Parts: sequence; C-alpha cells; structure tokens
Amino acid sequence: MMASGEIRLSTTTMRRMPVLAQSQDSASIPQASGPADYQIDTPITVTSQSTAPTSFNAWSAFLNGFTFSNPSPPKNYPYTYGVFLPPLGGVARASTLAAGNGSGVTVLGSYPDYVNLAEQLGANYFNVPMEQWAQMTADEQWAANQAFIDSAVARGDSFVFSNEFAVAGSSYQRELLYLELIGVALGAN
Amino acid sequence: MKNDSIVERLCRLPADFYSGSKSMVQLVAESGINANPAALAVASILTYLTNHSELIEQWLRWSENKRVTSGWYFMRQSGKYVVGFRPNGDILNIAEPELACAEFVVREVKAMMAIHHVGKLHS
Repeated sequence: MMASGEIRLSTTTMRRMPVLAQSQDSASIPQASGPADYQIDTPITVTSQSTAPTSFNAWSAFLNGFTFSNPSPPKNYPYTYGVFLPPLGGVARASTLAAGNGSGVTVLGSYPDYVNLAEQLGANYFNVPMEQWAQMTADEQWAANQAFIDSAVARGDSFVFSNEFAVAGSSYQRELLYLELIGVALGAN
Repeated sequence: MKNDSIVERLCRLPADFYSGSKSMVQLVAESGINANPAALAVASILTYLTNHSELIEQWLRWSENKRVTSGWYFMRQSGKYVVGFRPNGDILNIAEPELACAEFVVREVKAMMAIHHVGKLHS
C-alpha cells in the first residue's frame, strides 16, 4: 500500500521508457492536483509546453540564461570550466542546465539510480559536486533542481524516470509534481 | 559539548536540515563534532538510532534526494539496506536498518567534516 503522497509509475511504464515530450495546447494542460496517492497507467506520455515556464525565481532565471556560448560570466562569480558557481552557494553545470548534452533526454529519479540510468542512456541529469551540494540549504537545492527542470522543459527534452516509486515528501515526488505544475502531463496515452 | 548531545545532533541532521535554513555542512559544524571527533562512532550512532528509529526514514530521504555524481548513498533494496559510494566505492549490504543507517551516518558526516575543513582552508 502506498503512503500518502507517494507517486507510483507502473512497471510497464518503466520498461517502455524513454518517452517523448511533445507540446500541446494550453487548454489541455492539466493542473497539478497536489500530493495525493495515484498511479500512472501505461503507456506514459510526458508532454511539455514548448515555451519555458514563467514562474522562474531570480536565481533559476539567471541560471537558465547562462550558456557556454557566452564566455563572459558575471564579475566576482567563481567560474571554472564546466562549472558555474551562482551567488547563493549552489553549483550548476551550466552546459547541462542551459543547453543539455544534445541527447534530448533528461532522467529524473532517486539518487543514485537516476545518475546510473542517465549515464547508461547518455542522457541529461542534474548533478552538483557533493562539496557544493552539502553547502546549500534545502531551498537552494530545490531552486537549482527547479532551474534544471525548467531548462529541460524549455529544450523539449523527453523525460525518463529511474524509479517506479516517488516517496511522499521526496525530491523525486516534488520533481514530478513540479512537472505537472508547469504543464508537463504525466498520464496514459 | 557532551558526546551524547553531539550524537543526537548528528542523528537529527536531516530533520534539522529540511526544517531549517542551514546547509548540512553548517549543521555538522554546529554539532560540536569537530572539537570532539571521537563522538562519531558507529556504536554510539547505532544506540541512538535504535531508540529513535523514526530518524532512519529521514536519512533515507536525505540520501535519495542527493543530486550529485559522487558520494555515499543509503537505500532499501530487495528487503535489505545498502550503503555504498557512487561511482565505484564500497558497498555494504546490511539487514538491520539501524546498523545500516549508523554506517551511513558515520561516512556521510565524515564527508561533511572534510568539506568543512577544506572550506576553512580556502577561506
């Protein structure tokens, strides 16, 4: 039996992944219903808006606006190859956040499963060096995570999920609910 | 700070992290462990977790919520508990959740202490 708020993706869904992201009319975009027990039937289609959501906070908007095509990071921000250090103390791999790796696929899920799957698929995945992750507050971690998802949606990436269960209160559950909130439908074909 | 108090603060790190506005490294530093590193032992952590098993879920949550490429993890798998280091580190398979959690806490806190130490060197 699932705990309150837990999200379950069916095993068939997992086998059929990856799934494609497609734009759809705004009128048909479902609204997030908040934490609740539910199971997604198979096969799953993940559908995203073709434009980036407008609910960026200042930091995520800033992160999304940063790309390696512009080699001039803001003054006074630490910057090394492949890693951009935003002012709140978090770290985001700018190449992944802004442009992706060209695969068109983004993996979400629980650590370490989502990293393992993403590396197998050659897909995009959110990652922060541990030494930076451990120095971020919970809010900063989520802001960075949100910015990553925003970028993936803006790119039109397909989403693949590494875990069947999203435990209530977990970041994975929050990621799934956020996808719904910004217009990405998790549902059966 | 007494060892018991340090152990309690260490065991409650995820709860304090998710209910507050401090980083894990900050919370570890404030636990007093740096001045008394001997308090960080599997035996003492295990004793506390055995009496406060509700904290184990919080540690499982902290682990699964990580968004890193390299680091310790603690997870349920096929009826047992696994503590490991990604990508290519040790993997412990442990039946008892309290012991598995204690093993993870010790490793994770050591990692936080190292991060804090390096941060101080660079500041």
